[in-house]
Amino acid sequence: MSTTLRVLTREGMNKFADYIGALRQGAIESPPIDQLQHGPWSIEFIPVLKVENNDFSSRQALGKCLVELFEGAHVDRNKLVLNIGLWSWLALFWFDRICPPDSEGIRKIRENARYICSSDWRDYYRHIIASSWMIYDMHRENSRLFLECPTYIHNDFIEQVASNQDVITNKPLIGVMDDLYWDGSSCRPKKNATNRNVPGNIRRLVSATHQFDLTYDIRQMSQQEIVDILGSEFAIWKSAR
Amino acid sequence: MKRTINYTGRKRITGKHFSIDLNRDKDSVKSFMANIDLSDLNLPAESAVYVEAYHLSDYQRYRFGTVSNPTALDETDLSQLGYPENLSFRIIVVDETGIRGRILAHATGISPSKIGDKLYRKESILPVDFRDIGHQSWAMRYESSGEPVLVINENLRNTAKSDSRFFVYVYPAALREALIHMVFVTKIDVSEPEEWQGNWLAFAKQHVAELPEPLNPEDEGFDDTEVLEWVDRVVESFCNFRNREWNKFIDIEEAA
Repeated sequence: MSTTLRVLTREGMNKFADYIGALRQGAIESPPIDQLQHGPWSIEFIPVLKVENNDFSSRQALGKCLVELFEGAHVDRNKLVLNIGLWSWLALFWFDRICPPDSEGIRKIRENARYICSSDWRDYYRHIIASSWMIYDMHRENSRLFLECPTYIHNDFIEQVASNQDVITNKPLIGVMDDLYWDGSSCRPKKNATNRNVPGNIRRLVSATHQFDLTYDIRQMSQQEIVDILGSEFAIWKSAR
Repeated sequence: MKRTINYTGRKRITGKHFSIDLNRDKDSVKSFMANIDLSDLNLPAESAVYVEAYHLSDYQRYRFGTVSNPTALDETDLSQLGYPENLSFRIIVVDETGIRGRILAHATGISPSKIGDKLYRKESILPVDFRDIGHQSWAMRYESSGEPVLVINENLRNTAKSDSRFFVYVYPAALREALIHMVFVTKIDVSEPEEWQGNWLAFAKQHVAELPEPLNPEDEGFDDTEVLEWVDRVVESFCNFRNREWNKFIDIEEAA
């Protein structure tokens, strides 16, 4: 089923928030997508685009779908990045994907920022749809550490890395993370990559990066050059590449 | 007092070394111009100069030649960035003669000074960003450099610009929060402050001539009570100097 892409207005986002609040109180209701498909709750996105109610295999697939949709229509980034009504409408449209009901219709509701997009970065990167698009748009296949997970998961890689704007926008560094912490054989992140008790975990890499950033022009370095300056605590990850 | 040592040896590029202006076509930001003169920093003449524009997830780097000839080698187009209205800039000088580029000098958190021919931020130390922030009237946001931005609810745009009551209610609190954040969270090296921190210190000195010493919580002898009292005095002085807004505020209150 395809639907015309829309943008929630402030009133629409308030209604969406009311719905999420009701779910939190134990209500068992379907997402109010039909009720919010017209003014004053939403407006049509320009240019007119269609979206499918797909069952995405992962957040990476979701991000890729959106990037291809907007690139195919030549939509400028400045129409997208902070279009919080757009991301919120998409979260509503795909609500069953990003907040699925169990067999009894009960949903596990997380913080509102996962569903209703905020222009404040401290919440923006937590939005399931906006961050899937943003991270895939920036890093394409190297986004798998963050996005190769079910569409309802906000994993620790996103929380530790995407929360830091300097780091998430650094392409070679994200490439290094993929190199160190992605297990190509099992197609999933390596065990303990986010475990703060394990030397060289991803938190340590973020911390080390802040130190290197004082001395080296990291954004211009190749992935291998960055790997070369990592200290001994990263040895187990380097050797397991 | 504990001495602050610059282990990296990086030099600080300050406001006297550059100006960055935004070019606007109709209502949207299109590009920028940067005039850079680093001749007094004793940097190697052939070191590379880069200007970076950044905001939220947007980042773009532009080549600006060398220290001896810092001119734009790339188109300084900003129109492809997602949200060019509130961009910050960074300037770095890189020694690229070795195996890996080493940063020799930098300035970060630079706010552009002009849009088109109009003075835009007029040396504002507290940029304002009108955003949808739900039911909050205002909030503070801190850029990755630590530079504060006053975020005002976009529904209050007219009120913020024209109603002196908004100024009286919001700015003292925003100023207080920004100063406290700068000292206690971002932390400051008074001997080598970041560009935006230097502007804030200069502003504070206009109101209270002497800074608390030390001003960095990590330094020996730091007295948080003294620093908080200093913040109070800066805010108080700032309010005392805003007679125009205060008198308008009183007129409105008396007419109510």
